[in-house]
Amino acid sequence: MFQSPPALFNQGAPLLKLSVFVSLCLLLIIADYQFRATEQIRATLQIVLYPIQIALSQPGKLIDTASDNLRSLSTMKAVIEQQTIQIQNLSLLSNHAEHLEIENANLRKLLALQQQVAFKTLATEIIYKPSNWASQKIVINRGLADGVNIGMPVASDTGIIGQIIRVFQYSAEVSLIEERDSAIPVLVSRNGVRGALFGMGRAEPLDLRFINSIGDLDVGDYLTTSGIDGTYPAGFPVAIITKIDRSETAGTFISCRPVANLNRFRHLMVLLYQPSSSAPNPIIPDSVKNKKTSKWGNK
Amino acid sequence: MSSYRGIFLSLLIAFILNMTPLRSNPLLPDFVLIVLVFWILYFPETVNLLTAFLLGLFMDVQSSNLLGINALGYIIAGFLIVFWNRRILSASPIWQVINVFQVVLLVHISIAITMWILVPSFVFSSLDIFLPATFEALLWPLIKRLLANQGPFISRNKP
Repeated sequence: MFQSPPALFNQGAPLLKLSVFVSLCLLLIIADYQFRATEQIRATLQIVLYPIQIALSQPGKLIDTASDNLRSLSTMKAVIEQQTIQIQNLSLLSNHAEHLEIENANLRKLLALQQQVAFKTLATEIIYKPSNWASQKIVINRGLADGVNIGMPVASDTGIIGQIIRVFQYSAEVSLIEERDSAIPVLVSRNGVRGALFGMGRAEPLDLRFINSIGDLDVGDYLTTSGIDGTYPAGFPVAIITKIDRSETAGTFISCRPVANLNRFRHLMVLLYQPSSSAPNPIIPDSVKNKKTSKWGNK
Repeated sequence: MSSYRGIFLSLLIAFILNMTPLRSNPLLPDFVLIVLVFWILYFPETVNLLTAFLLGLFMDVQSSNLLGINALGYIIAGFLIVFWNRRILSASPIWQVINVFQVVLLVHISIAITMWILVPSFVFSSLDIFLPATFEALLWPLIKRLLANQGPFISRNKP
């Protein structure tokens, strides 16, 4: 008489199922990492998650409003007064800036330089910070519906904090400038030396690379966006040089600290900056083309 | 019927715990993983690899990770739990904790290795793998007690 098979096989270790699901996962991972082909799936799942995310961000808001309500009248008055003065000062400055802008545009026209793109800003709020320690991102409450697009810079009141890397209908993911391997082209505002600023991971100092004349740099120099990449508008503060580590063998390491406090504020600005890429493709002269073909053809 | 509701509710709560900002610290446990391990261990007919896969996908979108990386981890956990079902169920409480530790450790290691192979900029330390696994294993008795014995999630169908 046959004995019943051992329990393991009776229940059936789902090896087939495992291999199907694991290969599906690997497919998804590779599709996501190499080809960015899973945005549709992501957007669909995000629709389900969005209400929960919004609901979860409510308690924090409630506490905010409650603490606002508890503030006394006198402190509120003081704050309002202070802000009125600040607004007056700023409006004076902005009038002046407008004047300078017009002048600048006219001068550029005279010199036949490319016109700088004007852009608007969009106030936004952080919904949450994804629980992912391998990358430094935040999620904001503006999305495609508000005209936010991939690549737009995001700033706080003091400086650039990152860039939109993924948009959903009503929310968007911002990769902070301290994100590993994120790069932002900058120049030293004191003397115009150009370089690129690289993120090194959570709470690590930023790394300034591709600098030609290191001797011109100093601790405390302000770095602003240079605008040559066409992603970030020129002239926004990004970071301050905190340490210049000159070593004989390994080259020079320049550590910087972001100007904006990346992990403090709730309200941010999206710069709706999308320069038109109307510049024509470079025309390759025939002489160069012929040279190349003849070189390979003669082999 | 009530057990379905309990399962859904407990997984939802675990997911919400995972969504809190505290979890952006690498050393804190993955609540969904440990609750999922419990349900796959005791209710393999209801909570299976498909559940694990879907939960993983949602977790990936939520944590803006590579799509599929958490799903991979959860599926490996589900498979190991089904595979070692008898062994874990018949073990004494302490051995159960150790078995669960093995499972979640393997999950974290496989996630880290996959990331390390694929993403050149990914760095991790052994602490990032060991500490969450330890916390998850230590959570196991609590989760078990909460979900199985006189917890609010199941009124009937006691395992």
